[in-house]
Amino acid sequence: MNKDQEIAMVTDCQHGDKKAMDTLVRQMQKPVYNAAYRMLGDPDEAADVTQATFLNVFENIQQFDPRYRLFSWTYRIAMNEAIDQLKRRKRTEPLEHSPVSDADLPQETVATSQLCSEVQATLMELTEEHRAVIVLRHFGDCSYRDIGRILQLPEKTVKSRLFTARQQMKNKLHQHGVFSS
Amino acid sequence: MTDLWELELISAAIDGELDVDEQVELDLLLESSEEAREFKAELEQLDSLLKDVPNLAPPESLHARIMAHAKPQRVQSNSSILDWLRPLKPGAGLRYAMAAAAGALLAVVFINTQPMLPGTNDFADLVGTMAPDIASADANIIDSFAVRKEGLESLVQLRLSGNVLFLDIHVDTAERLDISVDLGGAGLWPDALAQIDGHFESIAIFGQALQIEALGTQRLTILLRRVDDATFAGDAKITLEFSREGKLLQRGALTATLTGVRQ
Repeated sequence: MNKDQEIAMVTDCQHGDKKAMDTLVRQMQKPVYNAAYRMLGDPDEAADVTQATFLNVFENIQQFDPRYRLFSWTYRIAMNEAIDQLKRRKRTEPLEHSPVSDADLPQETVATSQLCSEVQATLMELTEEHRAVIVLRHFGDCSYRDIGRILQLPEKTVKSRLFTARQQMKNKLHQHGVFSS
Repeated sequence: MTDLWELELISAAIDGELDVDEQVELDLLLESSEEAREFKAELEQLDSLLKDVPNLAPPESLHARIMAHAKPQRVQSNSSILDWLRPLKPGAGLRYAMAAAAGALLAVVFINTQPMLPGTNDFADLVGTMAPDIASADANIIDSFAVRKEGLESLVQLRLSGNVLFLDIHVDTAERLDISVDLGGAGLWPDALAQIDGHFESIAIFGQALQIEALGTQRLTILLRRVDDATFAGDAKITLEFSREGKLLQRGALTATLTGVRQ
């Protein structure tokens, strides 16, 4: 979807066009769901966060600033929703990683599934701040500029935080026997 | 190799985030340090490993779940800059005539571009990726005209992207400039401000006319819609006037056939 199409779609959503809202969800639900899952490590919570994200997007679509990209705005809402969910979880019970089972990933081979589980387990061992930059950079394919805007950080901080997060990922994956250095 | 700056440089290189000077520094570093080369190889391995992790498919029911709860938010007055362009949307040709006749009574919507972001909730300060160039590669320029005067350069384009019509106004002016855009008789109405780069002094909407005050380098893109009215069949003509302190500098017009443009 190019910028023009995005603007037209947002405008239609602002007019209350359900078809445009449907298109927006279809085009963005997968990246949003994946970002939420990588932050939370729980498929059910990721689905809830994805739903909350889009409802928030539609509720506030009138305030969308057309100078910016829709995906950045949506990602920021998704990351905030995911972090809120982590806080709610901390209030109720200790953080426990619940990986996606093989049954949830029928299209993947067992080896890939194991890799997914190891990577996800390692992600969950990082702090929220470090996990967020890894998720946006490696799973959201965001630039430093995008990440800075989504997380409200200077690009320099994004750069140093990514470096630290990668070092931790590398060491933890090494401990899990997934990464050889 | 213990310099944190060097390690971060290598990490940023993996992301393709180095400028020219940094790239030169990196090349020198890699040439001289075995440790640096090993560290880069490790990060590349990590990057490759993370790339091998496939994206998950959302639950099949998720889309339906979201849409079942999604409530269309109709445009409401005073809620955003986009709304402000619409209250004067005409529904029929007769309304144009009446609106023109009752010019003095016509509501004037004034937009000061400074407080663009509403400050009423958590989303007021939302930011995102600046679109580097709103013009899509597949967009067709239907008509354009350029203005070149002392202390003023401007390019105005009428652009069709799919079935969506955009009016792009690029302006670089050393002194305050007034731009009048008249869509009257064009069979078009301004639907939304699609993009604003730079700080326009003001943008005022008078029904199908726009009055813009510009200073410096600025760009404005307006999404246009075709009026749902058979009486406006045929070519659309948009007239523009550039003036300073009441003195006309340049007048121009853009024309387009409206067939295929969405309503």
